[in-house]
Amino acid sequence: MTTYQRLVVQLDTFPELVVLRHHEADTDRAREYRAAVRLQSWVRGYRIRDRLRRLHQLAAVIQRHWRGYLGRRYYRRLLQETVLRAQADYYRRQATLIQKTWRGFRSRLFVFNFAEWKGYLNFVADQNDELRVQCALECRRLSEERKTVCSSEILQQKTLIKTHHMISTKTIPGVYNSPYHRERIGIEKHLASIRFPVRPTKKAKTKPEDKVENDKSASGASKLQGPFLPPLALRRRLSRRPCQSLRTAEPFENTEAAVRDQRRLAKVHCVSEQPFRPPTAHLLPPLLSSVHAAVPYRAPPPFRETDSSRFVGSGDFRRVLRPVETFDGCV
Amino acid sequence: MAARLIEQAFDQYNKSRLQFVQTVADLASRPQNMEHLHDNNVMSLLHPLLMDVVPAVQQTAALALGKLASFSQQLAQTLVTSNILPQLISQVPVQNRFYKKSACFVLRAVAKHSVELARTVIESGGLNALVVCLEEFDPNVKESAAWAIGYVARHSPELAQSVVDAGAVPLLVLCIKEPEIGVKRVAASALSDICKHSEELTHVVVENGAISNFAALISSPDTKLKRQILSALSNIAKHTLALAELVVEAEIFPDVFSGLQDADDLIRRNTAGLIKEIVKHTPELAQLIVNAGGMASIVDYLGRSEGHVALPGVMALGFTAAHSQQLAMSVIVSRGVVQLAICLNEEKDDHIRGAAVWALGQIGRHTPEHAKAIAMANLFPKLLECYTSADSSDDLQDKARRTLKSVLQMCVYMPALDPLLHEAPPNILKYVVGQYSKVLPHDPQARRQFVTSGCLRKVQEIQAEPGTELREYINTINNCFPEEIVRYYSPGYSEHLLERLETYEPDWTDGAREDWQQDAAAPSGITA
Repeated sequence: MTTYQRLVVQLDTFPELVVLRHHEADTDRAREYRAAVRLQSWVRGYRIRDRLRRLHQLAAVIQRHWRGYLGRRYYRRLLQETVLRAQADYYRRQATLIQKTWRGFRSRLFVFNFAEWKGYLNFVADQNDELRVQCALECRRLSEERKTVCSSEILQQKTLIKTHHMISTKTIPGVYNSPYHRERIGIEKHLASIRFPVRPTKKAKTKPEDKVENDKSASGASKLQGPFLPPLALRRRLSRRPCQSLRTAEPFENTEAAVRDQRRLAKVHCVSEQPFRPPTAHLLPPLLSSVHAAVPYRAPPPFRETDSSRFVGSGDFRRVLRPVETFDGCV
Repeated sequence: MAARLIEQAFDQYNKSRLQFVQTVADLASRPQNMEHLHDNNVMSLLHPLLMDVVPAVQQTAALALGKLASFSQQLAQTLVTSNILPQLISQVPVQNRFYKKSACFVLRAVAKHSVELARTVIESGGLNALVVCLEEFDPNVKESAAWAIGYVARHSPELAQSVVDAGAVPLLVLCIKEPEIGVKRVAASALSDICKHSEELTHVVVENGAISNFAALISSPDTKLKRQILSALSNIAKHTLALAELVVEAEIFPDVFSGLQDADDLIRRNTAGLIKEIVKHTPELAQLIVNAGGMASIVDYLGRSEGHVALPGVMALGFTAAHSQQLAMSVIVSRGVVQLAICLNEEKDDHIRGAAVWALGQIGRHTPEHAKAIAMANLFPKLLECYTSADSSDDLQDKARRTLKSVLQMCVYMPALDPLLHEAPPNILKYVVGQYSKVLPHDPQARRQFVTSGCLRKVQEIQAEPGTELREYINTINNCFPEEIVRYYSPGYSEHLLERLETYEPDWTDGAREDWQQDAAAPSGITA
């Protein structure tokens, strides 16, 4: 059947259908009304939620971007500060290094240099040992020389004494010189100046009566009784000069007085009036320029003169960090 | 015939005179005969023989007179009062060299005893005669004359001045250049005696070029000559800095040090004396000697010598160390402190101990390092003993006190100060306690040591009036420790505690008593 035919058939039933439908509609109106309300409220809600969600999303986008911006700004500032601090620390460290080196150098130069002090004391010890060795050698040489000289002198004296009878006298002129000359020359002179060694004389045998007399007198050398010194020793003791006591001979303040006097004289002879510039020990003028026997102490030369491999670099001083331009103009 | 008899008589007279004079001269060589000869009026007998016709008699008479006069002062005085000298001296320019030699011998014998006799010799015109003798060619005459001049100049500055005024010095310097050793010795000794009195006389000697001559003879092997040369140089150097520099410029230095190890005592002593005189003027000269290694030689020499031989060495060390701390440290490094401690222990004579104490004071007074070196050698008890002992002389006590004062004020080495705290008299104790009060506030280790070694107790026992420095030091020390410890160590603390014990009433409640009884029963439970 066609649609038209279907519809014509339905037309008959149409008013009933309409009534039926109205009836259905009436019966479900409240329900449908509530359903409609529900649906509408849901839809409204949905739309609003959707809208709110969208708004939230947009707000979040804005906040996100803002916060990112703030964070980046903070980070940039932090970075700037860190770099500046690092630079400042670097320069401060360099300054400390300079000051430390300078202070050490200055105190070693003007106040006290321990390495030089120690070096000097070692030098003194070495010189001591060297001088000891030299002195021992010198002493040995001198004693040997003395022995040979002594022995040669003694030998000469002995031979002279043995030939003392060859000296020329007035009646018998000797063979060594001409009798017509008054002066003695050569061996004659030595013969004339012989000093005969004094032998200790033996005591002569005395008779008993002489012995008694001798005993009474106190002049016998070996018969002194009592606590008497032998005359020679007595004479020596009597003629000895008294030993001056240390206190009177050497005034206690002698060295200080001597140094004070010297300084006073130096002030008087002072040529220029420049204020005092502290010298270093090895720049003091040597007092005795012509004393070749002096062994001056020369400190070892600083490494700059001897060993140039210890220099760190050959170029000039360069700044390690370049100035950072990217931070200029930023907040 | 008659002529022969007369000649015989005169001959005999001559011979007997000669014999008499020779016998007297021989007898006068022995000291035991002197009194007898004097009793027999030998002077008045010899007096006319001096102007005898026969030269041999004259010379031997003069020789005998010289021997007599050299024996004792009394005989010399007799000779002077018998007016022999003017005649003797007036004969000198005209007579031959043997007479001159004997005359110089007489003058020397008279002049050597005392100042007055020497002055008498000068007043009789003796110096001119001696100068004439010095100009002679014969070395024996020169030796005699130089010897006499030396003896005259030895006694006092005025006599030495008159010797110099008589123009003897250039001739003496020429004598040094003579080849004979005897003349050199005696001339060196005479110049040494002239120089030792004063600076002006030394200048005169130095202007005549004595120093270079002396320096040339330093390394001669002859013992006596070397002694005199060294003594002369030290007498020259001792007056002023300029003279000492002149001596040093004569380049004696490394050669002189060998004298310190010589076998002969007097050479060692004179070398040490020379070094002492040079070192005492300025630090630069001391530095010179130290740099050449002299300190070790002096220390070795001290180890080998004793008594008066060691004295110049000790003083040389003291003078060196006195100038600066660097030099004092060099002395310490050369083991000077150890050697001085040995000297202090072994010497009996107070002069030398005083010198050693003084030298130690000069070494130790510069810095704490130096004081520590003195402390480590265990010298404080020894110095204290020198100060407090009854048989030290005043000089030694004074030096010991000064040394202790100057060294203690620098000493921060605590273990060495502890024995001093127990034994020192109050004026030394003040310095010891002062040093403690400087160190204890900063060093906890030292504080612990201080308490455990019993020193805190000792410090509490010291009585000091408030207001004195000692009291302030003690207060400073007490402030370093907690109060309980100080109170614990204060004297009378045990009595105080006992008093507290006696006055203490124990306060027991009943419950506590029961507990106590239970506790008494408990131990058996514990052991089970």
